[in-house]
Amino acid sequence: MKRKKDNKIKTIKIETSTAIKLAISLFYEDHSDLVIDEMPLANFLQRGGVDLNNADLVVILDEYIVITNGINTGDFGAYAFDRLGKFKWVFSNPYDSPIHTIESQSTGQIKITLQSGLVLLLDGEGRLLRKLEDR
Amino acid sequence: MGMALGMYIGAARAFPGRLTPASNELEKTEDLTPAQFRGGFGMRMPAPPVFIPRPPVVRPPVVRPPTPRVRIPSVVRPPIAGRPGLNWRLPGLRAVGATGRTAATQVRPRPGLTGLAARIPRTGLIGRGNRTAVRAPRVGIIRPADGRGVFRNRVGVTRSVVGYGRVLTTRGVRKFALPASRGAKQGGRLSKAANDNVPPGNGKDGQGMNSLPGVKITGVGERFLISGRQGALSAAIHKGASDLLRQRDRVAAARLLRGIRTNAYLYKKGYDRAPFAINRPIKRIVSGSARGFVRIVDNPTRAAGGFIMRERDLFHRSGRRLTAAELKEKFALNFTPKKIVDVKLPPGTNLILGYAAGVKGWGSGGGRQYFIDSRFSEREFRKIFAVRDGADL
Repeated sequence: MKRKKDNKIKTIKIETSTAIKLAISLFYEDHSDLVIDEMPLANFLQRGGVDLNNADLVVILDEYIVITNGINTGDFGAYAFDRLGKFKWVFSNPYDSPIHTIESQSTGQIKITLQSGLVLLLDGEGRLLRKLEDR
Repeated sequence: MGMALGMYIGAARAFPGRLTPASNELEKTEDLTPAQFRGGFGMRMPAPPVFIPRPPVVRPPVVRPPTPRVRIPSVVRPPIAGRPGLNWRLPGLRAVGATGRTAATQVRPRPGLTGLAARIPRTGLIGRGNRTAVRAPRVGIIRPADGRGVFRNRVGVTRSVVGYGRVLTTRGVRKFALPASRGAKQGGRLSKAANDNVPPGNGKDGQGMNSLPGVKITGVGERFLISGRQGALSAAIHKGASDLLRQRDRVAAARLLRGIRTNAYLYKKGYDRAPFAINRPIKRIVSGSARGFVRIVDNPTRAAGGFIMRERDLFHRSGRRLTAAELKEKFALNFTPKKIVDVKLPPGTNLILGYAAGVKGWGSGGGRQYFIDSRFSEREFRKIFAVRDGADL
């Protein structure tokens, strides 16, 4: 973040991995040095299979933070952690397309849109309920 | 001397393991100590072995009658009553001998059978020198287990069940459609590894491709897959393959298979309903500085998606823009479009060009559409789509 002398934000350039770390710190109330199981958060996520440098999307849903795998990983899944850093669920994407958006529904379900246009509905535990085709 | 020799021969017959020249214990005399040698068997050293040649066996020459050969008719058979469109031609047979060599031959008629069954070779394991002519890779060995799946015979010729109990098979560049029951009649054994790639399915929706009732077809050197739910597609294959069989149209056959392969590729991405018409051309292209692509959506917040089209295809040939209902029908959409989204493809984007297949309840299809077949990071992907202001449909 660069500020000019007049204190107005001119441009903000954030790399993807930095944005993800920023979102994680926001989610964990700026506890970027949060230690879980005697490990730093980044190491903890990596142990769960999440590579922050390759993650594409981080979405904060009410009580969870959902982190997707990037296109470089070849596996387009998503991982959810709660505010204590505890692993909640993993969504193993069976379709050969990266995740585009993740939204929470009022019903408690989670709607995932893939880049191919496919819409997936998950329950609160990350289980696939329905699949909707979208042309 | 002669008597002694006779006694030795008699002893050799009585104790073949000890006195025959093949016995190692007597041949390895240098390795034995004198005590072992003298007291080893409690007898004196035997005489050297004697070779007795057998008289040559003279067999009378076997005179066998010449094998009657049946010329397989190369005419196209008329359709069988009750099965319209069925028209198949018995392919020429090539036999594989027990030694693995291939030799062109024909099949002798099987006794006790008439008609087609008499000309279809019996299958099964082939013993040495036994019925080498019956192992015919072109006729194949195939057994559909549950009406779907990939079936491959032992010699590697692949046939596939494409729905409605039909088997799609390839011989050279020609494609054949046979009823699966006929394939089963021809078949004997199913290779155990042939069905390894068939996804187990429980038929429930939303469980991914591993649980969807799919039919995986293997072509020549390639695998492709269609959904068992695609009744319309299966019917099209059924009809199309039968037509191709009748017409022997190589170009149409290649187009048909390309369409099946493309839809199978998209099936893996979650599209159960075949997006592309398989009787129309399908191409894979790479975009240059592509302009003029749009996407029509019902909700501007969901502008992104895999299917796009040219803006000029939104217009009628008379020049007027198609209405939303007409666009829904033309591109077989499951929604009524309300907004136009501009699409800016990065150069080098892989696209699949084809024509929309009709989907029951959605539309009849026929419009030219493109599928974005490249993977983007989320940041790049969002940049592609921009909702056009004021372009309501």
